[in-house]
Amino acid sequence: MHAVSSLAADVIPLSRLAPAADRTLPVTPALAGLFPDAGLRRGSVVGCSGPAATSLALALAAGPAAAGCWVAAVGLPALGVEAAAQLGVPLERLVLVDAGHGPAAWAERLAAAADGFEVLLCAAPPGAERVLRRVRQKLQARGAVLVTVAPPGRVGCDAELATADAEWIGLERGHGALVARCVTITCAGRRVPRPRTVRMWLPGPGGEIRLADP
Amino acid sequence: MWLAEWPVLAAGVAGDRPAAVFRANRVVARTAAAAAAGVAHGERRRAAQRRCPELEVLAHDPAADARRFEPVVRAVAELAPRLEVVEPGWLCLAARGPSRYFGGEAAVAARLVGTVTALLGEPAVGMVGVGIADGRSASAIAARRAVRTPDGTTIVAPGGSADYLAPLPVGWLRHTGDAGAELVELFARLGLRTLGQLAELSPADVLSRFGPEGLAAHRVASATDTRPTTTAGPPPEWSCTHVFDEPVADTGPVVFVAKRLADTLTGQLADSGRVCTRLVVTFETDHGEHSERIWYRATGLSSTAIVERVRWQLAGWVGDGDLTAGVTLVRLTPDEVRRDEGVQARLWGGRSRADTDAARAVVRLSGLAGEQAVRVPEWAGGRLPAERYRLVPAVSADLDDPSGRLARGEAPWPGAHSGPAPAVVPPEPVAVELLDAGGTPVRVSGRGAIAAEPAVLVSGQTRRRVVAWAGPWPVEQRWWSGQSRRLARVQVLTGDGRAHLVALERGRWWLLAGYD
Repeated sequence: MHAVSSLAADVIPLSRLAPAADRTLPVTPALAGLFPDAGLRRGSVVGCSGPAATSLALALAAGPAAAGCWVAAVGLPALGVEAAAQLGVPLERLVLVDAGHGPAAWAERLAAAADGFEVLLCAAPPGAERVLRRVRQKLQARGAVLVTVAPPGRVGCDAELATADAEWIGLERGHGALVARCVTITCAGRRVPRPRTVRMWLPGPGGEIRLADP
Repeated sequence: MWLAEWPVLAAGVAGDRPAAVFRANRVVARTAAAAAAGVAHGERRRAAQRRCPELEVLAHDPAADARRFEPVVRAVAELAPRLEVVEPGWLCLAARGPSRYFGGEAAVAARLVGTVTALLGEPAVGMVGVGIADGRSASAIAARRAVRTPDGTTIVAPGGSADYLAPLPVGWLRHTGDAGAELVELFARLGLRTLGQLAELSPADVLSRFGPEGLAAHRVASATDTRPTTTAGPPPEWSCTHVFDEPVADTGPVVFVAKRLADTLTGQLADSGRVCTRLVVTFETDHGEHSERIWYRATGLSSTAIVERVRWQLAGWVGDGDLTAGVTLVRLTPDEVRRDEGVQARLWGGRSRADTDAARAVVRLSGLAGEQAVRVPEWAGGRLPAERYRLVPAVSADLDDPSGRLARGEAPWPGAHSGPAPAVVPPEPVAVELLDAGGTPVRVSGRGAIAAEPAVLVSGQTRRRVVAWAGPWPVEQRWWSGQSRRLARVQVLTGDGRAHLVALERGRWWLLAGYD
């Protein structure tokens, strides 16, 4: 049999044959509807913006982290660790990395983190886009996902998740306390054929992440 | 049975030409002529070329090694059907059956050497070694030493293996794959220079001092590894099979499927705390052709090791060129499993690939950015968001077992906020202004009552309208330590849908956290 001979060609069919589950990282069910692949596409950059940007970034990281992935937060010194835990990120797989001085140091650390972490959270510093090329290559080579929290800097994203119309319940004028938040999330971008929108609890009254009843 | 310098033999280089096979810039095998010129294993390419300028440099090609080894395996299988391939160039077979048939162990050994030398021709003369001893590892050592004997055979009398091994240096453990370089070095540093000295220690002492790997080494040294006591025949349902709908005429998809089967198999075994040491890999084609090999690895076959062996076997089978149809079936059958002594002892259920990668990246990042720049959370407890977790350098934390670091103590924290935790907690509070409708700063009385309703939150240049608020919740803490703090916390919701936690301390408002 002559055709069964191309050992050298092994590598290419392997990556092409990879099923969808291997090309994406799983997300919490409530968020799956936002993505065409129902998960975070490996190698992509996802941007979060609006009044619930940080919570959304943590909620995005929670799915892969619960499945065993490690999460590195690069240049997010103010990340609320307790909120991360509440939103479902296992703290045993969360590492925080300082960004260092300037976009070059930030990109270098991000690229180094992409070697061992499958989910990277970051806030892009001003001038980030210029230095992001190497990081993108590393993300694609390692199959990691970069989740950016805006502001300050902006980078080109494969999918942009905008949070809007945040409504907190529980807090009144002079009494009560924050209990739960309902927020609208819209996913758009060059990898998303048509924008998708969901209204969801982030978090709900019991701390859960779920879709809001229509 | 051991074929010395198999990679150069597989490359088809005559022994009288100086040549060496390199992997990662180091010599892994060399011809007799190169050895005579002083080229040694593990030497860098440049050093080897300096010793022997006319040295022919060959790249290591594991697939070719496997392919060329296939005829050898077949020839040996004619004499002794039940054989295990450990790696290309290294076979393991049960001597008892064939030695009865051929009239003694010496006769079998001589016959094996003769068969393989005849098959491979002139370059293989003096490269084939057959060793017969108690157990796989002892016989592997005997076979390697047999290469240097005139007839290529070494036969150790039954029960005499421990005595045979005793004078040998502990470095042999590395060659048989029973111990890593680190452990061998440790033995040597502690004065255990020969296998005999190691064998004299009690197994319990070895286990407590060197762990499971040390115990495995001890078993080899004392030649008691004939069949590890914890091995058992696995139930047949652990066998993993994939039948292709259409015959596959390419190795890529077969390897891919084998990877999935290997993941399933190792996953199942790992769930019950076991590891496969001997595996049967079977392929079948549409025309009923069939390839079956037994693979053995003393330290257990990981998923990647299984895939590597599948690849070797396919390469050998396909390389013959007498296949007439595509592959229709792949089956992995664990033939021997044992308890996984290596990683199962960990409380945290062992390390995954992701854990290993992350641990490596942490070390790398710490070197790049400094230890203080790469940190992991540790539970501290407290009433204020910034106090709840502290960050400690990741290199000094136990990433494998974080339970001690993250366990939240029993102590309740009255006065800490329940409800959602803020997602943004600045390490240092940020000065802000909380103004009432008239534009004057909001005050809190000594009794904890707010003087006027907050209307505007000013942080930096941004003014936000307050739409809801609650508080103040007073905190007095560390009055016993001298560093006493009194703050009044207020949750504030602003018109843009953002919620904030602010606090009044010493007459100023501070932003403690944001619920972004």
